[in-house]
Amino acid sequence: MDSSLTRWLFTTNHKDIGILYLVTSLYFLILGGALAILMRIQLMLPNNQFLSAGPFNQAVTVHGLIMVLWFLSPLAFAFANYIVPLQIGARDLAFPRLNAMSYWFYLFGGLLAAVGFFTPGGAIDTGWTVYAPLNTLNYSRQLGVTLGGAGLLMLIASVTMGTVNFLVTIFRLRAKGMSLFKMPMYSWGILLTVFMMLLAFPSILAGVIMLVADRLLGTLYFLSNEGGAILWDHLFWFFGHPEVYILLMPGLMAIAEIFPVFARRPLYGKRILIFAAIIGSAMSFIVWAHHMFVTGIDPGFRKFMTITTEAISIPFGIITLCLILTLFRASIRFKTPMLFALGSLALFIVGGITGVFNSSVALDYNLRGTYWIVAHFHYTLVGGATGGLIAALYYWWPKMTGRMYSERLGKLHFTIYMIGFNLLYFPMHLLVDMPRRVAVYSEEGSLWLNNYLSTIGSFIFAISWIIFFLILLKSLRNGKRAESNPWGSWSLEWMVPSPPPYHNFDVNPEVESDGTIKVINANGGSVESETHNVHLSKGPLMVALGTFLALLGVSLSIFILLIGSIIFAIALFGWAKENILGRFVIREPEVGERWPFSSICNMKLGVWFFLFGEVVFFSSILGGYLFIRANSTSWPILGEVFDLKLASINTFLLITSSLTAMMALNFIRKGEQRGLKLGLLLTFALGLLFLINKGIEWEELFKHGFTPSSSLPATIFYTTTGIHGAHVLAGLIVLLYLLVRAYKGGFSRENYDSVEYFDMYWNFVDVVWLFIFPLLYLI
Amino acid sequence: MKVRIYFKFKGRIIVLSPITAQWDWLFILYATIGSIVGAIVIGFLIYSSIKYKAKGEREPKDAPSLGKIPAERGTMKVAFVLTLIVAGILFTITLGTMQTVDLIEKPPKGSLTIEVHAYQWGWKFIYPNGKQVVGELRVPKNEVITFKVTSDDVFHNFGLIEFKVKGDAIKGKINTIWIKPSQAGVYTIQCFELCGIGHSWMKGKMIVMEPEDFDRWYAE
Repeated sequence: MDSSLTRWLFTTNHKDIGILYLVTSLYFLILGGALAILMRIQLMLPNNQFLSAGPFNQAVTVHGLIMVLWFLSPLAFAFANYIVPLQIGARDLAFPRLNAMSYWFYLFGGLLAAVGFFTPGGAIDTGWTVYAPLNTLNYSRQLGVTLGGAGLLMLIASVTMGTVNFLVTIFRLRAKGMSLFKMPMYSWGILLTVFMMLLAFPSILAGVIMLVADRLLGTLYFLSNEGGAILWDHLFWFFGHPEVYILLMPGLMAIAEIFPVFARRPLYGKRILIFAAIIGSAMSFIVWAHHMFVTGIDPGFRKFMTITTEAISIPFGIITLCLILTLFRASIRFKTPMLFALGSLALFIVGGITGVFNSSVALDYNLRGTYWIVAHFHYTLVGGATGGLIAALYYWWPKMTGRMYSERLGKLHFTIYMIGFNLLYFPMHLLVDMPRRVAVYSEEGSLWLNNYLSTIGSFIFAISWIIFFLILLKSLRNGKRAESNPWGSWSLEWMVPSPPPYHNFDVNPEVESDGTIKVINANGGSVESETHNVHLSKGPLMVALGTFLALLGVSLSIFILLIGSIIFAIALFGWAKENILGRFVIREPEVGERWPFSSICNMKLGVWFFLFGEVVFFSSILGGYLFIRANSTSWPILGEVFDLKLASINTFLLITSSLTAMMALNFIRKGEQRGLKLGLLLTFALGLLFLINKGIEWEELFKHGFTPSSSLPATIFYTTTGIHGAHVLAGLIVLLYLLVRAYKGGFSRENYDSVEYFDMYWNFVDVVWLFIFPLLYLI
Repeated sequence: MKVRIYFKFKGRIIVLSPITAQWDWLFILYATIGSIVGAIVIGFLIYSSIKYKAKGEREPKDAPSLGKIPAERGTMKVAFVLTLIVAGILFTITLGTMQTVDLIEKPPKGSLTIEVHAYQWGWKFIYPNGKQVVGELRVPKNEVITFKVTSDDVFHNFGLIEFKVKGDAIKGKINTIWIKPSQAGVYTIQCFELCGIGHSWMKGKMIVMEPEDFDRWYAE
């Protein structure tokens, strides 16, 4: 297979991207791990002077951010990319270019955050939770925090693209007969994970946008008492708590995938387990306030969150029990993947039990902010989630590389891993008197012994990872060739060679009603040969690079911003050209299992999912506004600040543009090209007028001293209408593309999908305005 | 509702403040139940692993085979029983929690109320008579002391380590915690929320004095 640089830079193939995710996430693991070792060395002895507070805080923060967002989830998505399409019988993801772009945004986002280390004042140092108001310019002047925020923005964009892609893929590209319940557990895990991501990430996006606005434009979201710490807490933890289940679910489901294979028995209670996982995922959205139990939030609300937090242990308890019962009366083979699966389940159980302690408000009054919490979440996220994914790595490694590894060394890795892990994290349970994130502790008290043990444990743990990397390198160099099904598994990825061919399946797989997975000929037996060149695209990398430079420029210099914007524009142009010329073709398979979305096409479903995320995003933005409003004692009355005439004109313009957009769609449905062009042109003109009018309105307000930093109403007004305006602008850019295509005769009675998707988006943007207008101007 | 469990502990351990005893009692309750549950579940996991280790190459009848969706097995009964057990345990510990929360959050009347202002990086205390001190807090023994905790800048947390109670210090908000120290001595105040470069050193002293000594100091 072609292994040139071009392949890896411009690939859109799910397996290549899976490998890219794997390598990158492991790179970030080394980085995050090195930072952790630095911290542990500093904390080994009381009053140690290895790291001073500044670098220590940066290490704490970047370690957390990297491990949570740039290592753990991306490692899960390495397998999601590589394995899930194979498991469900698809040739690739629904949107290959979007998938590539998702990867590049992830990588560049990480780089953007890391650039901070090389700026004066260093990288972001606010803790991974980036609490307000420490995160504002008043208390953290350094560029590193802004760059961290910008990196987060790119990561969130990456996640959003990935989410939409995987949802459409899993719902629409399953092999015929592969009903949702027949899907292997890892695919289930990813399905639930992306659902949670879709709902959770818009909230942190809203938070980060407010933060970046505060830092760059001087708005007052997190400096004000009305917003401030509690507003950030809500926005952050509404994301942050589902996030821990987002991190956990793939690892847990990998365990559910691995147990039956090595225990040689079917999973116990697959349906029960799946239902429990669905309930658990849904419940993860109503427990976030347990991170705020002692911030003084409303006691009734807190009681509710206490009960939900305790109750969420029920579905996860059921999952655990189903997994253990799978082993009952089984015939277990202790290969490396199984050892890691067993070990990580045991560690997850410990973390789960200490989690119940944290659901108690009363206990939180003392446990809050201590090393007990650190111990708890490392047991769940390192022990449970990471361990599960390492099991997955050992399980799928032969499939992905075509090489086996040394079983003996694998067992050695496991043994040292378990010893190191427990020695590293267990003593932290006993450090209830020690605050998290302190660089130094004093000799008094009995803190040193447990810290000392923990640091020794961290060295042992680090050694286990060195062994891990050696195993992988050794396997790549001279590992035994892997058969297609080395573990005696049952699912589709094991029915193809290791590694699988570029196009996955010579013929479309099919699941028969008795559960036999068959491969029948798709095109009269003709094997499709697809070469790399068809599926190479420069767009994803270039768009990500442009965005990276633009965001770097916003923080550093206008010159870089300019270069970034030019690259971004060229990349978009190239992408559009690729589409218009039909150079990049994605064919949807003819037959497949698509319940419950069988009647709409992939792209439309993708747009629906994307808009669903947008709804959550605008709800968070407007929710933030209502939160601040509820805490404010005074607010301008109707007509005191805003010129209602201008706003009403804008409402009129936007509603009319919705009508003209629908007009364009109706015309092309009937095949009338002139009507289409007219409709699109009118829509463009109306949208442009809206923005111009908005500009006039802003200028007027500016003249009267109503600037973003002048007051909370101004902060909210400019941010909210600005974000909405940006949506209008994005719509206009798409509209420009549609107009070019329309004038080139690119649409017809049969082919008008893009116009329809644009309409959905445009109507959504208008509906958002219909919320903004009364909420901001009239009440 | 007040649970006076801490009386049982008297004689065995020193009860520094009503909350510490109640907290210890609750923590021990959680830890006992947690350890038992953990031991049973992990024990079962290890037991099954050892008991059902593969002997030879013989496969169970329903072993996974390539290209065949595995048969379903297992009943809802297990899930149902488990739900009942977990719910029962949760109910018990929730009762304990609610009682303790009641105790922690409802300071008894007639107490000495001290304003706590956290700032980067230190503590300022304001007494009812307007007396202000920085870093070193003095309180009388055997009296209920209520702290009204707030912040002058970023998010801090007012932690009284030995008294097992903490209050979030947030600008624009006042959170209340209380203690009733039974032993004179010097105790540690520390910040438990990352608040910048000085976080590690954001400590203070709380000196619990004999009432008459305190009164003398307070009147100064």
